[in-house]
Amino acid sequence: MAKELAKQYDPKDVEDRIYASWLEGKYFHAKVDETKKPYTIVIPPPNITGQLHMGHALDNTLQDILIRFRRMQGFDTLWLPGTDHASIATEAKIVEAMKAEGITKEDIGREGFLERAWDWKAQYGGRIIEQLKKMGSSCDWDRERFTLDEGCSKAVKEVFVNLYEKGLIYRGERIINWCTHCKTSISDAEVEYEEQDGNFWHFRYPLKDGDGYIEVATTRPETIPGDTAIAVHPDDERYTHLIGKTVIMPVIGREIPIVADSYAKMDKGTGAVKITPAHDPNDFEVGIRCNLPVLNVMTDDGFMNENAGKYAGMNLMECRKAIIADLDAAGALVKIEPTKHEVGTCYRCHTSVEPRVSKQWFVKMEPLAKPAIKVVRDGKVKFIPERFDKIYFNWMENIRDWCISRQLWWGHRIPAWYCAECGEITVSKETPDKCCKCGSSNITQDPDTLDTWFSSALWPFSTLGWPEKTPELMHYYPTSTLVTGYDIIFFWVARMIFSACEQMNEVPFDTVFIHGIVRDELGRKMSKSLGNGIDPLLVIDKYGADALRFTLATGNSPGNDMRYSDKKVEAPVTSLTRFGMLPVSSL
Amino acid sequence: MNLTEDEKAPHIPADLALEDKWILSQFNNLAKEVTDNLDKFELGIAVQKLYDFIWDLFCDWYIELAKIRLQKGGAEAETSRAVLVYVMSETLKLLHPFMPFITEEIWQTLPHDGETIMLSAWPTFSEELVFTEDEEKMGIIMDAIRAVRNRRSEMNVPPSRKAHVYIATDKKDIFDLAVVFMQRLASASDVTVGDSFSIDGSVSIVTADAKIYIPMGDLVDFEAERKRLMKEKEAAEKKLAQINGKLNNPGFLAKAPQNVIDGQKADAEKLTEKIKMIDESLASLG
Repeated sequence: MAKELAKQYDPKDVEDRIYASWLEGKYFHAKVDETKKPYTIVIPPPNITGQLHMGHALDNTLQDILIRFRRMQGFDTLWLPGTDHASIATEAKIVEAMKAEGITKEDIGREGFLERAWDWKAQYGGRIIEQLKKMGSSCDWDRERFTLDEGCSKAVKEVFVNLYEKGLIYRGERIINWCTHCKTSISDAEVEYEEQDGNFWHFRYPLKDGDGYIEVATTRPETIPGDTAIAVHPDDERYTHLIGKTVIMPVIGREIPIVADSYAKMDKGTGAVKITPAHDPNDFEVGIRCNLPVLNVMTDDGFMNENAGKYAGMNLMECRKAIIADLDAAGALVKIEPTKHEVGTCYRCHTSVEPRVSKQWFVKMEPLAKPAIKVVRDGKVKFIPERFDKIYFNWMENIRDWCISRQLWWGHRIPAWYCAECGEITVSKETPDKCCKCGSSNITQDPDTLDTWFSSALWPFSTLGWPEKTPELMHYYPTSTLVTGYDIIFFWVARMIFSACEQMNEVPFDTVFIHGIVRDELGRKMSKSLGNGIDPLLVIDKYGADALRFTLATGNSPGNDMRYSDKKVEAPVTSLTRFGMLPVSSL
Repeated sequence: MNLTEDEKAPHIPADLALEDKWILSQFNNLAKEVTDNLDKFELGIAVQKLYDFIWDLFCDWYIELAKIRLQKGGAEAETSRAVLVYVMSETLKLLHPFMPFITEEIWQTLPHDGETIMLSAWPTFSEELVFTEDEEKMGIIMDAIRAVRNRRSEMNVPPSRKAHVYIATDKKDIFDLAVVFMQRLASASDVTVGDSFSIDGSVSIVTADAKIYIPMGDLVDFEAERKRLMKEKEAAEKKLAQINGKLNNPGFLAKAPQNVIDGQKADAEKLTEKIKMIDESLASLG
C-alpha cells in the first residue's frame, strides 16, 4: 500500500518501528532449505560485559551489509549471533561488585560466586545484543547462542577429552606467564612487550677450586637465589677449561655447575649466563637439556619464598636491592651497565609478567598447526586482503604450546579429576564417580577453568549443533565469511581454523574479511585516557543508524584503519530523505 | 507518492525515450559494478558508486529531464513516471544493505511487490537494458549542456536570463533531440541546430561534437556591463596611480625594505594586466 513519506524524516521514529516490523515478519530467521545455497556468517561474539563501541559498530555494519546482499540474491542466509562469557573480564566485574559490598570470593565459595555471575549475566549480558539491534543487524535472533550454554559447554568437553585421548592435551610443568596481580597464568599471546629502562649488573662467581672467577651479567638480580647453573657456549674457547667445574655463589653459598649449552651466546655479554630454570622460559629449556634442578624462589603474589633464604618475605624490588648490596659488600659486583630491554606485561592490568614454573594444562600445538597452515597455503581459507596471511603464517610457524588453564571460576571447568588414593587423572565428558585406575571415589575435580578462547575457537561449529550432526551443521557448515579485526588473527581466527581442521576435518569458513580499527579525526586510537572515544549509540541517537552505517562503510577499505568524524555523518541521510521525497515534489 | 492503489509494481514501459534508455543503461552498469564490488568485499567503493549515481546522474540529470514529460501529461508522462519509479525502486534495493531503514521506508511509499525490501530480488545486469548508443548520444548532449552552463557561470549570467543557442554540428540528429533538454537545463530560449553559423558578437563554446554560439546580447546587458567594467577600470587605475606614486618616490625607495618594494611592483604589474583585460572586454562589447 502506497503511503506518504513524512515531510520531516526523523530516524528515531522510523528505525525502531521498522526494526520491530522486521522482527515481526521473522525476516531474519533462517530455516534449512536444501534447495538454496547457504551463506553463513558467525558473529564474533561480543563479551557479555561489553558496551557497543565503534569497533563493534564497524564490524557489525560490514557483516550486515554482506548478509543483506546475499539474502536479496536468494541465498539461504544465516547470520548466527551470540555472546561470549569473557572469563577474566566478567570475573573481575563480579569481584569488584562484591568488594563494594565487603565480600570476597572465598566468603561465598564457588557455588555462591557462580550464582552471582549467572544473575549478573541475566541482568546485563543482553545489553550489547539490544545495542546491536539498534544498528539494524539482521541476525537470526531465534538462534542466539552463548559460549557457556549447554551446547557450547558440551562441545568444549568433547574437544578437551578428544585432544587429551590423542595426547594433544597434557599436564606438564612449564614456564608459564604468571600475573601476580590477576593471580592467573596468561598465554604467550596475552603478554604485551614494553621497552623499559633497566640495568645489567655484572657479578663475579668464584670457582670452587683454585682462584678463578666467572663473570655473569643479569637484569634481574632478584632471581639469583634460584640459580642452579651457569651456562657457556660449548665452542667458546675462553671457557672450555671451565666446563664441568663448580662455582660457589657468593653470599648464598650454593655450589652450582658450569654447563655447556648453545643458549649462551659467545658474542653477548660475558658469554656466561646464569641459569634460573624456575623463572625464565629459556633457562627452563636449558634446565631440561642439562638436567638441572628447578628451584622456585617466589610466591604467587610476587614475594620471595623460603627457598630464597635470608631474602624470604621480601618483595621483588626489596630483594633486588638487598642482593645487590650484599654482593657488592662481598666484592662480587663488577659493574652496572644501563640498558634497554623488552619486558612482558599482562595485557589486562599491565603488571610485569613473572615467568614461573607451574603445573598447567597445555595443548600441543605443532601437530595441530600443520593442517591449519596447509589450508591457508592451499587457498581453502583466504584472507582479504591477502597480505594478512603473513601474520597468520608467522604465528603458526613459530607456535608454542598453548597454556589453557586459568585460575578463575567463571568459565568451563576443566573436566579432569584427581585421585587422592593413586594420583591418577581421570579425564571424562561425564562427571565420573570413581577413579579410572584404582576405582577410588576419593576424586576431586580440577578447580581451574579453560581459557575463554578455548570455547570461542569452536564457535563456527559448536553453535550449529556439533558434536550432534544437526541439519544446521550439515547445511550451513562450513560457514562463508568471517569478519573481524587484524588484532585477533592469532587469538581467534587461527584457533578456529586449527580446531575446525581437527574436529570437523573441514575449514570453518572460506574467507576471512579483515578490517582495521576506527580512529578519531586526528588518526589516534580511541582510548579512555585520551577521552577521544565516540559512542556509536549517541551517534545513532542523534543522526540515526543509517547515517552511522553509511559513514563506516564509505570509510572502509579492507585491512586498513579509518578515521571517524561526526561532521561527515549527517549529510547522507539528509540527502537521501530529499531523494525519497522527490517523486512527491516532482509531480 | 500520489499514486493510486491499483498502480502497477515497478516495471519498464514500452516506448522509452532517449533519456529513459540512458538512465536505464547507466543503472544496469551500476548494478553490475556494485554487485562485483560486493563480491570482492569492496564495500566502500560500492556505496560510493551508489551515491554518485543517485546524485550526479539520477537527481542532477534524469529527474530534471523527466519533469519535461511529466508536465506534459498523457502517455509520455506515464512512461516517464514508470521509469522514475523503476529506477528509484531498484536503486533503493542496491542501497538497502548499507542503509536498511531509510531505504525500506522510501521503498514502501513507492508502488511495490512484496512485504519488504529486504526480501526483494537483488537487481542483476540484464542484456535487455544495454543501450550503448543512447548512452553515447546522451553523453554528447550532456557535454554540450555542461559547457554552456559552465560558460554562463563564468560570465555570472543568472539562470533566469534565457539565451538563444546555436549549435553547429554534423550530428544534427542527436542535437535535434537535445532542444528541450537545453531549454530545461541550459536556460536556452530557443535552440537552432545547423551545419555552421556565423554570428557577430557571440560567445563561442567548443565541445568534441559541436561548436555552440550564443549572442552576447542575450547573455549580457551591454549598458550595465559597460558601466560595471568602466567602474572596475576606474578603481584599478586609481590604485595603480597610487602604487606608481610610491615607486617613483625616492624617499619611499630609500626607506622601504626590499620585499615591500618588490610586493608593490608585483601589485602594479597585476593591475596593469587587469586594466588591459578590462579594455579588451570593453572592446568586445562593441
